[in-house]
Amino acid sequence: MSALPRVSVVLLLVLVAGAIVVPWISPHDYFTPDWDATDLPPTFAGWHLLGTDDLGRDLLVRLAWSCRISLLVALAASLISLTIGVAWGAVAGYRGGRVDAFMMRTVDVLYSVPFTPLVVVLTVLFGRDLVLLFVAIGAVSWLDVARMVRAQTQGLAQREFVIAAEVAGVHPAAILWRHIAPNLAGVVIVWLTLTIPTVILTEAFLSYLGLGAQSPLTSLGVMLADGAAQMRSRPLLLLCPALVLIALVYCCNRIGDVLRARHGN
Amino acid sequence: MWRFLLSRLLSAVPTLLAIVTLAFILLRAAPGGPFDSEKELLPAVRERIERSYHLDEPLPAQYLRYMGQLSRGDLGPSFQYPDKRVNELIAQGFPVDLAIGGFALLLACAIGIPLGAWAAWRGGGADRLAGGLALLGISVPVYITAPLLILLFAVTLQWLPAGGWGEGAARNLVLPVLAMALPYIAYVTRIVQSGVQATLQQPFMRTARAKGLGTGALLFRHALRPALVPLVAFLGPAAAGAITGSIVIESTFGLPGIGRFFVEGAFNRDYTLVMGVTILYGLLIVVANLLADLVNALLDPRVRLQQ
Amino acid sequence: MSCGHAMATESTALLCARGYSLRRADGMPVLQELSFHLGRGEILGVVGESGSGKTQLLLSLLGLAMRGACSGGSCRFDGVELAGAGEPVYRSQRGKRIAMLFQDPLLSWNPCLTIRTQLTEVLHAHCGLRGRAADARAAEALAAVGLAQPQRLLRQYPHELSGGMRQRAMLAMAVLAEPDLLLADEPTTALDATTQLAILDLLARLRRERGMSILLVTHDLGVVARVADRVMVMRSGQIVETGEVGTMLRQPAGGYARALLAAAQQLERREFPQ
Repeated sequence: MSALPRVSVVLLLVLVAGAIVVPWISPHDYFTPDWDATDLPPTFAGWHLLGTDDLGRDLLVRLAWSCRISLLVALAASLISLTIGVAWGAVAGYRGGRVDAFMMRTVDVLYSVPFTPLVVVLTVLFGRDLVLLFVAIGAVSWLDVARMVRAQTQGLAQREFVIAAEVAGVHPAAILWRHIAPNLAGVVIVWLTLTIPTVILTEAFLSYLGLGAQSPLTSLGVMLADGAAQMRSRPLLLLCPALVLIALVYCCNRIGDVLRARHGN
Repeated sequence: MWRFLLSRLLSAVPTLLAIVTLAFILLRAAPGGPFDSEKELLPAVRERIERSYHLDEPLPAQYLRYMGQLSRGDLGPSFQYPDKRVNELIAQGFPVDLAIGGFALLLACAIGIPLGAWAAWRGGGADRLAGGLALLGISVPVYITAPLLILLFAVTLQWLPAGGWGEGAARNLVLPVLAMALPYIAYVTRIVQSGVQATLQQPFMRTARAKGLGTGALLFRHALRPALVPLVAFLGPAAAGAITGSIVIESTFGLPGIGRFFVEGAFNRDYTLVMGVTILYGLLIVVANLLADLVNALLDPRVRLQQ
Repeated sequence: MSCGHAMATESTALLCARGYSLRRADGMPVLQELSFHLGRGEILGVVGESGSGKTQLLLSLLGLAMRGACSGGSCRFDGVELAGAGEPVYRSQRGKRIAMLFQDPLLSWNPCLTIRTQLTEVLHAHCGLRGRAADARAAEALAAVGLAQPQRLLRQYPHELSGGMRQRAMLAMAVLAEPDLLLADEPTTALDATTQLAILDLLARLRRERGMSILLVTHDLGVVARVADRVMVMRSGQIVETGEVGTMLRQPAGGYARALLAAAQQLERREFPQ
């Protein structure tokens, strides 16, 4: 009944394809300043289709690179938090009792820690490194997964096939891996589609504050911060990354909504 | 009721202790110290300053000293603003965030609740339209809306000031409140919309319609109330986040709030300042969740206050 | 005495359907060419297997059938044409002239509102009563269906009542505005045997004392035998048979009614462990 939103899927694919392809086929790169071509408006001359910034770097290529970084960070961070969260939630939900109480209490405590500021503090403290950025984001955003997976596992642990395996004397680790983990796939996919946009926003936010990607590397947040600084003279520098970011996040959210409705929660 | 309140507040104490300890360890584990950047300091001077802040003591001693201060409600001296205590800094900045966050949340509820309820009630096109707008709203972050609002209302139309606190003048509040409220409006709309949609499917709505009630009574008395339960659960933590200030809002609009203390403090290794704001946030979370549980018990009599 | 009611003719009937039908939004027929009538002060039992359209018939009379469904033919209620009517027509009848009693006494109450709120809003909507006066009337109505301590009950929430109390209160709520027609959808199915009898006696009393007409949907022939004057057997959206309760249950004419009766008797003979 809930078909995938075609427009969002296509738009997302176009963005991803553009992010991959544009830097290959464009004659420009994202980091070399060109002092003869600063602050150009969109033009076909020299293939600056969206113009250049104040250092003469091609806006389109920089946008594509920003997309690459955003998607990469989003995927990596989501996978990290997925790994921690699924393991934590599945063990807590399956073992139950004191182990569960302790593990979920830990999650509760971490929940009360301010999320974004903590990532800020982490990135400030441990250096401004892109790898660290996604480790930091991933390490803080696993709490939701852990809770969801725990609830799901608790339900699964009561099911006949799990009980049957227990009676047959299968090792708990094997039960978790073979019987429970595959049944968590639905929850996890839904969670993934809703987390990726959140991570994209977090990365852009940190880069906007100057804590994420460092010059000359770029990201949507870096471009937004640069654009906001020059918006009075060159609104295009703000609008382009803004539109790309909004489109990226909107499409992911839209697809995630539909998937969530499909999995019925 | 009172026993519930007391036990909930007491059970928050270990949580807060854990947060404080975690923050303490994290901050001290980081390389660098609060007086590293001032390179021109003579070693002797620097040593004296560090001694005056007890930074020369071993970490466990510093931790105990800090916890002792904290138990008296003293958040200690700030390193970055040498003649200020963290309590003073927070007391100065917090009203700014309280005003902006509070108004933003009020605005979000004032627009989001009726909009979500109306869209779910009408169904069809209105439902899809409100859903799409709300989805767009949560997809546009503050660091995009804030500059765009300034560009539109301050630079182009020149209706409102582009920034500054102006001692809390209404003109200065409009844009930051609006920028902060937009995503919250979207969240509130989405939550209320899906809540009302779910309630409308309930058998008791059929009873209410069979009783011959008007649209107003059906929607606002019968359908909306159960739908507000998830909204309140969302608003608890959201409120704590909103009134501890947004770094982006404060820096974009040049407001003297406490949100920037997190970033500035972390940059400058201002241990006590970061800890102070973290503790405030943790406290607010606890209080906000408690309030949310109380309100939900009022909204849904089946909810028992536990613990 | 009940014979007098049963003798109601079509011309004096309160509710009179002629070729009444209901289609889903996708065109699928739910009810086909129903013709029946219900006299003033009469109880008409509607029996049939699940999915035969009994409940949809009741809901459609109040314009509450599934979304996008449309009714055709004719169904006149006291001079008002209900078939194909618009929302305003249904609105003017709901609660005030035609009330409904639902099957599930828990889910049919709004869990977030007190019994008082849910009762008095009916009085406010249809009788213009508010405050003390409405409270008094609500308490009276609760007492009339045999509920003790009505004042205390008014302050309670639905989940604090037992199933039987909920259904009694639901009945009190349905007849608050003194409607002429009560549509009862399996009102006893979710209750234990003692409470079932109590509810049925209340229905019979309402008819006797207020002259209320009742369209009683059930799949329980025992219920029909106890209170109904006439019975109408439905199957896949059509009326299979209509007749006096006494004659029908003793010597059903049609094959389907006979099969239904046989099934019921067979069930009754079997002993089910509770």
